[in-house]
Amino acid sequence: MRKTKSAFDNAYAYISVSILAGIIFILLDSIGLATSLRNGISYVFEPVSYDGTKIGTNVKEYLQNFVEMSEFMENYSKLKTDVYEKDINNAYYLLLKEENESLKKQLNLSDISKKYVECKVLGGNDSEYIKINAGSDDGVKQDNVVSIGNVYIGQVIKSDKAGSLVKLPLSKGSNFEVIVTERGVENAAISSSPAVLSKAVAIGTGNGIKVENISADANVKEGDVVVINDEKVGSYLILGYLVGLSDNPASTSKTGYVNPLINYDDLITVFVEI
Amino acid sequence: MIVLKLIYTITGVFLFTFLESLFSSLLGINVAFILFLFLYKKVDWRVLFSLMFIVCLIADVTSHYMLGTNFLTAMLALIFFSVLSIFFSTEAGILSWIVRMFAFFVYYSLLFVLPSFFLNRTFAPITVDVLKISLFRSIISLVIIILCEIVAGRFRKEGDKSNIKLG
Repeated sequence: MRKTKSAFDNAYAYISVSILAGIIFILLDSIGLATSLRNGISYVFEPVSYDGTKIGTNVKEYLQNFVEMSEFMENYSKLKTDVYEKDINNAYYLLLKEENESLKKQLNLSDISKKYVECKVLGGNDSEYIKINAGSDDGVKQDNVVSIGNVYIGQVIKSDKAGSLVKLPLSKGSNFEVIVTERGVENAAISSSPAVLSKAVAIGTGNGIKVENISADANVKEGDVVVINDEKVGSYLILGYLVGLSDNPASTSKTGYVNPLINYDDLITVFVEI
Repeated sequence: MIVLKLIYTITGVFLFTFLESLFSSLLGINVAFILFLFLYKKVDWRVLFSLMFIVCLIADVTSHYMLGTNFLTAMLALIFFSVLSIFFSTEAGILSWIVRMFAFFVYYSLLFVLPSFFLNRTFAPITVDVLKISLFRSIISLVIIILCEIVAGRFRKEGDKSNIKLG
């Protein structure tokens, strides 16, 4: 009895028995005989283990944020650069799209028998003029008409080597002979003989375009289209819609204003007829 | 008194399971083996091996290993430690810590290989990364065991420095 006890007091004996026990358990589990034991332990201890694992994982993730801070910063600056690049690309594509749409308009709505120079608007001195990046080198001369499709933009008043100044129709001193026609011409090219409701004169006031001398008995109404028919321009080009029509029965003529088809501040691509 | 010990043991096993899972997911270290190596030759063999066996079985189930994997791995590492203890002192000194660190290193390296073998009959390859991770875990385990020694030093009986006063 004493011999047995002393044998089990020996650490190596314990280790040997333990290894044997470990191997037996592995064999039992591999043939499925320890399933009940597994289920029992799992039922009792899995929730405790789950909580411990969850807390450990959360703490690890939290600490990992500090460890990976430099990587985060690096990724952040990289993403920032990517965003800038995408913004630049986006702006470039928007410009291309705008140019594409302008060219489509020009092809569909302008007089294709004439020659045009495509140019970009660089900005203006004030709201009455715009600068364009086409000049005498491109064949642009004074009094050339600037348009997009069949919409009148202005007339070149000064042309230099690489740029020109364009006078918008709303500038003071601008005046054109115009005709007022019914709506429907904006969706397609102007017909060779539009139904003229009245002849009139369009005058730039600095901040708008006033239409005067509309025949008092003409059947014009708000929203009719004002089309330039002036020898200075040389072709039918739309100016805008008629708005703010006066209604004075005592007057011999009617007056109104033009709501331009295009916002002159948002112009990017225009075409100069040369 | 026996009932009280039983309650302590059950509560301890639950707490141990919690800590084992927490540290395993946090640092990848095995608290059971750290404590086993810490208490080795300090408490009664029968109590130590029995508790270790139970804790390892629980760890096997919660880690979804074959039953006995953790215990067998711990025993193999312990054999390594015992063999080294023949040639080097494991009681005190820097050498004793180095020996323990090697034991931990063997344990964590085996823990990469053996579970896969028992589950799939294929050994997981021991790569440089595996060895690096094992070394990192061994160092952390060694730090924990040193801290345990320092804390336990306060509870040691005067005149019997190899045994821990448990209650």
